Parts: sequence; C-alpha cells; structure tokens
Amino acid sequence: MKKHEVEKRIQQAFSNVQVPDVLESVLSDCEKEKGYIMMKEEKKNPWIKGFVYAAIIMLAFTGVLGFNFYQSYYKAVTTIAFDVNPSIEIKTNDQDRVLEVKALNEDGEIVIGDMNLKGCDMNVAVNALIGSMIQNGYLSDLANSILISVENHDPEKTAQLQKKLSDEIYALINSNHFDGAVLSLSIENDDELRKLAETYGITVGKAQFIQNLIVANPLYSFDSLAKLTIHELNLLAHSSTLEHVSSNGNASDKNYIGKERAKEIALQYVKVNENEISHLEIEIDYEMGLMIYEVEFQVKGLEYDIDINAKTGEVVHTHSELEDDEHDVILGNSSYIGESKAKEIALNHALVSENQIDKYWIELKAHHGQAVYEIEFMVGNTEYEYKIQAENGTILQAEKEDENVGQDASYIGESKAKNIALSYMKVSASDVKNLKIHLDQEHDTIIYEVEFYVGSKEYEVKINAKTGAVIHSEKEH
Amino acid sequence: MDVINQSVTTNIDDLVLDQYLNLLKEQDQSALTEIYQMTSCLIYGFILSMLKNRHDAEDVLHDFYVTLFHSVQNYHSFGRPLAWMMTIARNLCLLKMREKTRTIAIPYDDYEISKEWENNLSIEDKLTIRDFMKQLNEEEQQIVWLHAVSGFKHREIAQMMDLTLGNVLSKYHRAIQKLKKSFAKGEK
Repeated sequence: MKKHEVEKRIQQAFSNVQVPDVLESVLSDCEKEKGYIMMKEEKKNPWIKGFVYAAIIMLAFTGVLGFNFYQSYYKAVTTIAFDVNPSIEIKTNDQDRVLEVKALNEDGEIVIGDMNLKGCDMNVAVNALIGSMIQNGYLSDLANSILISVENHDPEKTAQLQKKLSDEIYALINSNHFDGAVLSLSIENDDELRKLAETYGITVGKAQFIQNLIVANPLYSFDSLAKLTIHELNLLAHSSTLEHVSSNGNASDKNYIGKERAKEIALQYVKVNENEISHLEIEIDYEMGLMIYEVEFQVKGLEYDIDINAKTGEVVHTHSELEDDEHDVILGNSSYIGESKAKEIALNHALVSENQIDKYWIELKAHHGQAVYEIEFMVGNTEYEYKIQAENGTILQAEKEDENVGQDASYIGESKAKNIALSYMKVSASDVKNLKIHLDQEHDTIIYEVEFYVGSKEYEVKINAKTGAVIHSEKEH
Repeated sequence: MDVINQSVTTNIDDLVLDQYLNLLKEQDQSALTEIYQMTSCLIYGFILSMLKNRHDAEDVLHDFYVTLFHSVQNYHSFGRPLAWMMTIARNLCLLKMREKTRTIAIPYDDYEISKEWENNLSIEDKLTIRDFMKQLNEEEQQIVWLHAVSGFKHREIAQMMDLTLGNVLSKYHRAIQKLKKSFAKGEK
C-alpha cells in the first residue's frame, strides 16, 4: 500500500461520515440574533460562557489568515502583576485577553484557587482576582494597598493601561466599603532589576517600587524591604514622593496605633509635655524587622529619637543627642562602606551567621567627629554591640554582653551607682538630664554604666557593680 | 521536499468558497446555506476527530456556523478560506475540550467508535476510522486529518498547531507508517 493510498482511504472514510443536519438551527439562530453574538444556551458554568464569549470575540479579531491570527492570539504582549502580599502575574495578548495567570507566591495560589481565567477578558480576570483577595482577607480595611505593574513594549499603551487599571481597581475596592490605596507603575526594561526580583522571589514591579523607595530614602536596603508587604511599603512611601509611581488613595494605618498615640507614648517615655518640645516629626518607618513610628523632637537642646513598635506601642529604641550641625555634615558623606558591609564585618567578628541573629539594629552616627556604624543584635540571650568606622570598616568597639547579667544582692544597686557617678563627676542631681543606668559586663567585670547629660555635655561613668569603684569616666562635648 | 507542496485535493473549490464568504459578509443567508453544504462534512469530520463524541461535535458544528456568520466580517479574500475556517473550528474544539476536562474522559473501545461514527458507514470505512482512532495519538490524528482529509499543507499545519515544519513532517510520516501497517494487517 502506497502513502497516497493510505491518505485516500482516510479521506474517503471521513467523507462518508454522516453529518448531523444543524443547518436549520444555525440559520434560525443567525436570523434571531443578527448583529448579536450568542451561543446556544446550554452552558451551566458561567466560566464556560466566558470562554465561549472570549472565543467569539477573539474570532471577531481574526486577521487575514486564521492561523496568523492563531499565532498572534497566543502572543503575550502585556504583563500585569498584582502585589498585595499575594503576588500574581497575568499575561494578556494584544486584545487584552488573558493567556496566563501565574501565582508568584503561596498567597497568590490561594487567591487564584481553582479559578480558570485563561481566555477571558482582562477586566473579568482583574475583577475576579481582586474579589478573591478581598474575600480571602488580603485586602482589607487594615491593609488596603495594592501595587499594579504594567509591562508592554508600547509606552503609550502601558500608561493608558496603568491608569485604567488603577482607576478600576480603586473603584472596585471602594465598592467593598473600605478605601483602597492603589499604587501603579510601568515596568522599565532593566535587566538588573529583573535579576534582583528573581533573587528575592518578588515581582519586577515590587522590585522597582522598592528601588524607588530606596532612591527617596537611601537609608533603606533592598534586603530588608523585600520582605515587606506592599501595604507596609506603601506606608513607608507615604512620607516621601516617589517618581514614576502613581498612587490612588492612602494606605490605611488602622492596624497600627497611629501617629497621635505614638506621640503620647514618646512624650510619656521622656516625661515631657507637648508644649515643651519643638521640631516634632513623626514618621512611619521600618527598622529591626519592625514597622515602627519614629518620633523625633527637640527639648531643651537635646534631640530625641524614639522608635515605637507601630503595632504594640512598645518603645523599641531610644536615642538622644545634642543638636549638632556637625552631625549632618558627617553623615551626609556617601563614601562609606555601607550598612550591609558593616553588618558583615560585625557578624564575622562575632563569629555568628545571619540567621542566628535577632533584633538587629544598625545606625550611622557621628561619634567623636567621625562617622561610625553602630550595630546591635542579639544571639540568644547575648547582646552584641559594635561600633565600626564608616569610612574603612575598622572595628572601633566590640562588646558582648549577657542579658542574664541580673541583679545580684552583692551589687551596690542603681541608686548608689548613680550617686557615685554624680559625685565623681561633681555635678548635682538637679542639673542632670536624661540619665540612664544599666548593668553591663566588661571583661568579666559586672559594671553599672551611667549616662547623663548636663547642659550640652554628655557624661558616661562606668562603675564596678560590686565594689562601687569608678572604672572609666568620659565627658563629651 | 515534494511532501510540502503536495497537498491532497479536496472537492472544495477555494475560489467558490471565497465568493460565498464574501456574500456572507452581506448577511446573505443563502450564502451560509451554500457554505454549509460545501464544508459541513469536512468541518464535522475534523470536529469529531478532535472531540470523539458525536453529541459534542454536533454542538460545536452548530456553534461553528453561527460563529462564522458573525465573524465573517473579518475574513479577507486572499489566502485560503478553508484554513481560516479550520482555525475557527479548532479553537471552538479546544474550548469544548477545556470544558470537558471537568468531566472524566471515557476511554475508547471498538464499540464506542462504531457507535460514535455513524452506522451507515461501510465496514471498510468503519475499520479505517477505527484504525485512525486507535493507532494514532491526538496530535497525529489532527495532523493526518488536516493534511490527508482537508488538504492543508504541512507548513500551514505547523503554523496552526504551533509546531515546527520538521516536527509536523516527521509526525505525519510516522502516523502514515502506522496506518499503513494497520491497514495491511486488516487486508490479510
């Protein structure tokens, strides 16, 4: 048997197949719905209806040859990513039909569930996804931010889509009885950004947003921000204007104690009244793996910086220093080794690894006229403190102290330590401001470290906790 | 390379079909009737070979002509009208198949095939179709059908199915070999 005989035989067999006669019903359907696009009503599943609809619309766009169309239909031209914490990416063709919906993290999978959005209109898919995010509690009154990033080779189309989606989603969220905060941006073609996004397992849109945040606030590091949700990032963005990012609505801080409460806590902590302070600034910030309110103010020549856990209201870090112009000059220099390098130096010195540490804290400070990174972190119950020269990475000070250093009956006690310190420095208790005492360990000796200000001078006295002997004293202007 | 240029002739005249499609643009229902009569056999065979279920194939056949009626405005008369129509048919089948994935696929046996494929067929035709169904996988069936029955060029099939030309050619040849063997066995 020859090849063409095989072909002939198949062709013949099929041509003899009896065809059911549907001509009449076709003609009547076409007559009935002239100008309308409809299918037989036997679809039970609304999604199927969507598919059929999609199919017809996609056919309505058919080009010269069917298969040319077929190819162009399956060509993704637009990528839209949604980040809340769930990250989802959808690819659409040039008629805004969904070709692919991809969850980029576990939360994304939950949001998509068993919805099959392939083939349906972009708007339908967006509606379904946002609806599911609200239903699953990812978008709520407490966390109302979403980031939309649009990528298309045509900048005009991109901008248009970005605006359209942003408006629609904003309206969609608002129809659910809470205000949405919709961020949107257009993806720039940047390979470095893509790599970064891949490394951290986030969308390119989120990576770009973080990068914009870092540009606006160079103290942030990509590393730390990558872990945050879009809502947290949006809160951080709120205190600075970002280029290339459009924002619709404000990020809700209802999940947090609020700026007013943060101020109260800070004032109580320092024990001052509101009318005594000046230059009050409250900003939401992210430090030590926590969302915090950073409350800054000046009182009697001292500048306070009080960080409060935004959720619990707990004071997590305080710092006070003299108002000092030199400070800004020193810290304004950008030729320093950088926070991540400083961290590396400290961790290497302490012989601990990144994942062992807890309550990590780093700050660039002016110290004796030079810029230093002050690093603090915990490993178990041990607290480490480093001062590292910002220009060359030299370790100026390394301390390791055990939190278990507890009160002991054999110690002289805090009040006695305070008296010793004051009399040693020859200052009277009424002049002293911002006095801090804490128990510490230095070279196997338990000490009291007493710090205070008199006028604009800072004092530090270290006293042997058992004997009461002054080991070290320092007066700094 | 002669394989590429050699296409099995069908009894459908592209020029006539093209004329009717242009008439259909004017919402001429008689043109639809003509097109239906010219092509329904071919279209139905293709749909049935993809869906393997008479009931579904009938639905899709109906949907196909209604869709054709509405989307004919996008038809341009150069090119091959049948290729354009077949792409529509294929897309409708894919949609139907996606819908069907929700239900459990029923495995095929001789009984089903003879039941699905009309009983007025000659024994030989039935056996031919049975071999076609049993010996070839889904993809091979589509490729063979598109080339041998509806006369598409391999190059066109490659575009339609998103395969390379070489891929289509080798698959086609493998499928024909299988059928040849199977037919020869049946003749003995």
